[in-house]
Amino acid sequence: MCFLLPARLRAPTGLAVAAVTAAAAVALAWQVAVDGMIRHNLGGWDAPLGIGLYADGLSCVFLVLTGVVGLLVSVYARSFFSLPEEQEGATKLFWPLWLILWGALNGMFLSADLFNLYVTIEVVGLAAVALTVLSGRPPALVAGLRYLLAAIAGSMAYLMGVALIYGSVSALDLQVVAQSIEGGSSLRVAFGLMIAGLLVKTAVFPLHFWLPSAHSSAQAPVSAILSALVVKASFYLILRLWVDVFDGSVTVAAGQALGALGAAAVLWGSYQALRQRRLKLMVAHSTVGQIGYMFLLFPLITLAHQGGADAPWLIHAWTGGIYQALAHGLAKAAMFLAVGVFVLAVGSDDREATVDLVGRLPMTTFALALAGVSLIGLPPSGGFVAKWMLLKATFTSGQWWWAPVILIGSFLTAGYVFMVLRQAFAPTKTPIQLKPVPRAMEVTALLLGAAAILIGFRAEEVLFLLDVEAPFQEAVEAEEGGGL
Amino acid sequence: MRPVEIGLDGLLCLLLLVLAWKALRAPHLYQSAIYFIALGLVMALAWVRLAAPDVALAEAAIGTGLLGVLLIDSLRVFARDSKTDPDAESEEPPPGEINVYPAGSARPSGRTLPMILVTASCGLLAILLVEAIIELPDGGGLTAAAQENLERSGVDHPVTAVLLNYRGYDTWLEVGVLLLAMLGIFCAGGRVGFAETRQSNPPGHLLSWLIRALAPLMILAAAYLLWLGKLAPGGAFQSGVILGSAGILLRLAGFQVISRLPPLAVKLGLLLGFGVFLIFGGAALLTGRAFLEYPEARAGELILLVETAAAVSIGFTIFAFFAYLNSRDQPEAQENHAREEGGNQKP
Repeated sequence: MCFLLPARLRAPTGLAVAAVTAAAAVALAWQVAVDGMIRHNLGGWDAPLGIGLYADGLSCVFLVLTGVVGLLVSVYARSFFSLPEEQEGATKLFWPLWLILWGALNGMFLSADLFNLYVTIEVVGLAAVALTVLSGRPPALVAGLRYLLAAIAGSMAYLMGVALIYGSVSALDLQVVAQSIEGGSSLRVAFGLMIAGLLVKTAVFPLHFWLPSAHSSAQAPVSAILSALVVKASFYLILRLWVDVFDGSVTVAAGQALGALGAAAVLWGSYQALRQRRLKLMVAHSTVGQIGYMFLLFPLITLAHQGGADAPWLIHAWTGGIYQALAHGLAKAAMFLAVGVFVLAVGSDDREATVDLVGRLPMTTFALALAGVSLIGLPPSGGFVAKWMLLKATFTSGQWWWAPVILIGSFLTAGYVFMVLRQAFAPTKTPIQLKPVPRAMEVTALLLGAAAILIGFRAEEVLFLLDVEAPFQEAVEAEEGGGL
Repeated sequence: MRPVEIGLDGLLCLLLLVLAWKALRAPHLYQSAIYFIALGLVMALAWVRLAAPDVALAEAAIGTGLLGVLLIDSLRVFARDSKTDPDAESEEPPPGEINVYPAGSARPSGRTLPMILVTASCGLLAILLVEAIIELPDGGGLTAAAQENLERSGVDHPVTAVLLNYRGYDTWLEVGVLLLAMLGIFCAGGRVGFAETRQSNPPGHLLSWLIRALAPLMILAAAYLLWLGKLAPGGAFQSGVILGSAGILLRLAGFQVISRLPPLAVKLGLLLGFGVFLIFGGAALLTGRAFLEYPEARAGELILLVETAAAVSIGFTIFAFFAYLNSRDQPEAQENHAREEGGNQKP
């Protein structure tokens, strides 16, 4: 399982470990889908004393996303880091760092213990910062330092919250805490601190200040990992706390507040992306916007939950938000990898330099276009499914005010995607010399782009997996029962 | 509580606040670092007063000793960089006083709007925290449960039982964090590996003799703390820090510590703690127990083994932090290093 943490091994071994880890994630998901939730008590100690690992539908969905993206990015990275241009700095540390990061991500998705979750987010954060500064270039160092400070501030806030919870309920296991939680101001403060700390790490507007520079100054495979997976990890944790631990104590106002931050992020991030001239910065700002969509999930599910079982939109909102995380993970990885190919071939990441990209790098252009389609949310992509479900939930729940945000965000996204594509399809007479790019890099970008579209067709499987031990089981069953 | 104790605690609280404020507001970074070290020492005393000697030991060793060395050494590197930088302003701060604020600008005034906002939000947070902490029930926690299972854990000190047995998984990951921190430093420095050269100005005879005599004693103390962890405050982290400090002292006296060992041995030393946990956890899985589960009969010995490995790795890592920083500012060391690296490519 996730215990396959690495020694200091180079590319071929790293790749092999990546394949095994991804396969293990899929196998675990399969097992969970067939047999239901799995729990493993580490060290043989039961819940309040020891630490548990716990796999349900939600964790498996994120594990598989990480596995798929991780494997493809690893293939890409193998070619990328063997290029002579990318040898500077400490790049030979890519494999140990990336595999530790991956292991920590898996550990986080499986952990059932508040303090253990803190340790895993700390490992994820440190490894992510180290990967950001891998090249040792000055802009990357500056961005990395800013990222480090933000990440540490975030985890300190989370840790303070954990300490308060341990003080008040004498337990750290998620399920035990969830059962013994009663209101009270210490709990409210703890909850606020934990969520605020994680919001910094997820880079939700207005706490996104560190993200664009960090994600755009890292090397291409690292940017893909950071944008597609690392920010999802803290999103997963917020979701987990919100629905599994604090589900009795969250208020509608808190949900609306998170939704408002998300909405602001959608508008601001997408608008900023539209204004960027450098491709990598554009893609990084687009991450800020797309993360915003995921947070629209919170007002919807909170209202539904407070309203009891009588909330048919609940399942739409829940799956829509998670689908957005999946679709964005795949599409954004594809986009960063494709831009990486482009930068290597052309030697610039100016938006205007993409002239006639389609004639010169057809496969990369196609990957970029597929990822863009999913980000905009055009049918039949994964992004479409996500945004459609969220839209449906906003209308059926009567919270129509989120709908224009979703639509305007899509238009802005369409704007920046088409600005790149328009240049890419513009023919040019002057022949431009291209550096050759390894085939594997183009192919992996394309595969990820294709996956971002294809998960739009395979919604049933994802939904089925997500259903295992879903937090709203009772609500959904009650609804089904009521219908009969 | 006796009046003396109340007075002592009050003094500690006051000192903590004053030192923290001073560390934030000292005009020069060097002074800030010194205040910060003092803050760490007072904090360690506060932990003792809170009846948490394990935390106090860790705070004194890591928060004060190690961090102090690293801070001051980094400041020395900054000072040297700004002196050798030809573009630097001619207005050099006097030696020993390092001014990190951009040349020409005084320390930013404390009356700006962001400063007020930050202070206000910190104050608000403090009020909320105090309110939350007052509300906490007394005597909570899992202390009772930890004591109850102590017999089955193989050690007699509850803190060690929590760290190495009940929650060994967390400790394993923490050892990983240290390893990761070192890799991160490599990345930020833009190169891999260490270069230890003989210092151009070795310390006097007396000092180097003293350090020579102290180093074995420190290693002995580290081993004692490790052993003691079984029944009293002590254990892998504290012991590892002392081990690392012995290395740092030797290095300061101009000895080559890491370069004497073959690179493979250094790597093994760094990885040992993490690796032993992993091997042992995997073995437990293979024999049908849970990951990191100790067989009850042999738990004591196994814990000692794992702790020893962890302590060695922690010592190596801590020394590595220092050696890396220390070798950064020696141009000839970097050249040596470049040559070395060419020859020592991993197969």
